[in-house]
Amino acid sequence: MSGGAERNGGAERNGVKILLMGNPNVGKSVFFTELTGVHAISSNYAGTTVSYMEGEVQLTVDGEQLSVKLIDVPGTYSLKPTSEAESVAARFMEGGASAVICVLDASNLERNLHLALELRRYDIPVVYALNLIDVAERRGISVKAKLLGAELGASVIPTVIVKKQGLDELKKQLETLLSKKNTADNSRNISASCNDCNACPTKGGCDLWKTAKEITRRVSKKEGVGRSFLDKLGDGMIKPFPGIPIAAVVMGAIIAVVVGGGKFLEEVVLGPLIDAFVVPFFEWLFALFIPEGMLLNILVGEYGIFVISFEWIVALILPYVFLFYVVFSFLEDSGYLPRISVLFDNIMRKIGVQGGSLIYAAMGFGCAVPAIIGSRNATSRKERLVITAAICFAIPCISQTGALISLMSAYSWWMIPTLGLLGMFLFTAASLIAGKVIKGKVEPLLIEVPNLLMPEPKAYLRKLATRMKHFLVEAEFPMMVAIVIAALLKETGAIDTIAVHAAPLVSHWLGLPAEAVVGLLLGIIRREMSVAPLLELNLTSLQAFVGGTVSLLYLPCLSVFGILVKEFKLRVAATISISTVLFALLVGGIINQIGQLFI
Amino acid sequence: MQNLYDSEKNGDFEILSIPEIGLLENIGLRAGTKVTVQNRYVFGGPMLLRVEDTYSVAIGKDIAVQIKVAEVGTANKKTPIAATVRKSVTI
Repeated sequence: MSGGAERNGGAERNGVKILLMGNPNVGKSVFFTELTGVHAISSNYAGTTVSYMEGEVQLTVDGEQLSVKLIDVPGTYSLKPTSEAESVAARFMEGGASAVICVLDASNLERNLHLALELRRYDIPVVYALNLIDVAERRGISVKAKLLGAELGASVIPTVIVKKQGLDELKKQLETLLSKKNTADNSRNISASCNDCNACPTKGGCDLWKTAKEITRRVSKKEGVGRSFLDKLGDGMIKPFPGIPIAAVVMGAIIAVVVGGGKFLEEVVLGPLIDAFVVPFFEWLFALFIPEGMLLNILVGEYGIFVISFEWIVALILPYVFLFYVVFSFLEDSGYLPRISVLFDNIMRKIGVQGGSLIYAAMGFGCAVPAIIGSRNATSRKERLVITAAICFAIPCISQTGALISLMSAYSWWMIPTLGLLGMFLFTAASLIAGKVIKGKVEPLLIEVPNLLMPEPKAYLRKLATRMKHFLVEAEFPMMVAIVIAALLKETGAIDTIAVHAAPLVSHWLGLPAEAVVGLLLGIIRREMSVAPLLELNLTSLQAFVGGTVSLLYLPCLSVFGILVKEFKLRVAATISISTVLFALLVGGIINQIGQLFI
Repeated sequence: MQNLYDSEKNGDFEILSIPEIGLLENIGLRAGTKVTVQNRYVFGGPMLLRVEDTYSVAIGKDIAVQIKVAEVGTANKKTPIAATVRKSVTI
């Protein structure tokens, strides 16, 4: 990838590139957002940025207004890479850049300095942002930034980036660094400090860990401070007791907020609003200039585009998606998720994955696409494949969950926990089977447990807004495509022809009305669309349960298929997709056949 | 000398040697690092360490058994006699 390592000596103005680097979980993504205005998603655990992001920073260099490319490099502890995500960072450095912003965690200086020292081996000027000084202070740690700057031979700017502290100064420093005068000087300084061991100013020599320790000792002071309530809560959450009871309470709270809240929004607020005002409005509007007939039905008929797009997307799906991200973003920023990974590592290991993979599974409840991308941080390919397969098989995305809850609760509430248990059972089964089939090793757990934090309100709200915007942009189009197809199939009568052919499978084996084939067709495009059509049919409880099960296990959507191809090649994507469909039809059919015996 | 996994809870230890796992060193665990054992999870689960009284790391059993440690204060006494004594005490 980095065949022709191109160095920008600084004289070259076009293609000025700045790398944003640092240990995982030091706030790089927040820097990126603040500098570029592009919203990167950040979380309170290692490795949110697995594929890098690129944006533009506006700087004034030598009196000239410049738009400079900034790259948010995945967090790395070292340039000796140990995972797919980390090797990206090393490749970027080898590829060369005009400057590097290295973010340091003031509360954990020693380890962060190791990376800082490694960066000096490259011929690239660096500016250091000493971030999280507020957290460090709370822990009784004070760092002398100027002194540290002298040790590193570069500017060190203290920052609290979530509060924008130090941002302007950092920009100014970048401008100085990129100015013509400086770029010439800098490369000289760097070569003197690291390529020539005799002239090396650091006492530790080439042992960077030793040097890091030395520097830390010289520039920082630590006083004993009592542990705060959040620290103690964080400690408690990771112990079996009270950690497991707390996990149960958190789980219950998530269900109450997402399922209870979603149900409320759907049935009490949005549903009635749409039925009473939005749908009648469009019926009235289109009736003004379109004569009764097929076209009018396609627009505002029972399956009309303007009817189901509101009923399905706005009432059925949005409330759950919104509430899920309200809860999930909070959990991510708080640092709770890695605690769960540690607490349940022993159980997860029994089913063939690391506890760390629970984070990807939790992300999968939102959407499988970021979960699969996130799993690049998994420590082995086997681990990645097993958790990806388990997510594709048995973890419904949040929009599908919303649709499933609506479907089930229309019949009887006990179906929801039953389907939940079935899902857990099948997740375990999928993981165990994938673990047997896929060759390789699952590595032991090795993760840093971040401090438990109260999410910074502004950063949290911005993340929530980014997620929702992302959902609307990404999901809206395929959902509309599915809805138009549904409307056309239904209102042109094409569905009846297809239903006849699908009858042996849909009606005989699964015991569903032949029309339910719409769900199987639309489910290829989006997961929730495999459920939504079932809501329009008059089903028996058994049929609803079978339909829900098939939908739960059915094909991950087109976007997931796309990401599977991209990450694992077509063969894996096809294997997962085909086996999910077969598995879904098999399990659904078995439940139906057994159910029939009792009815 | 004892392995980290079998070291007692709440004890302070200094790492003597680590297996060759890149991430282990990158995450800040190497010979000379001081760690406190915070938790050890049942059923072959991981153990939780406080590193240099600064941050926490969870580490799988398979790795922890390969890390050799000494109780803080004894790390520098590498005389054979001291080592033998320690061994007989831990058994």
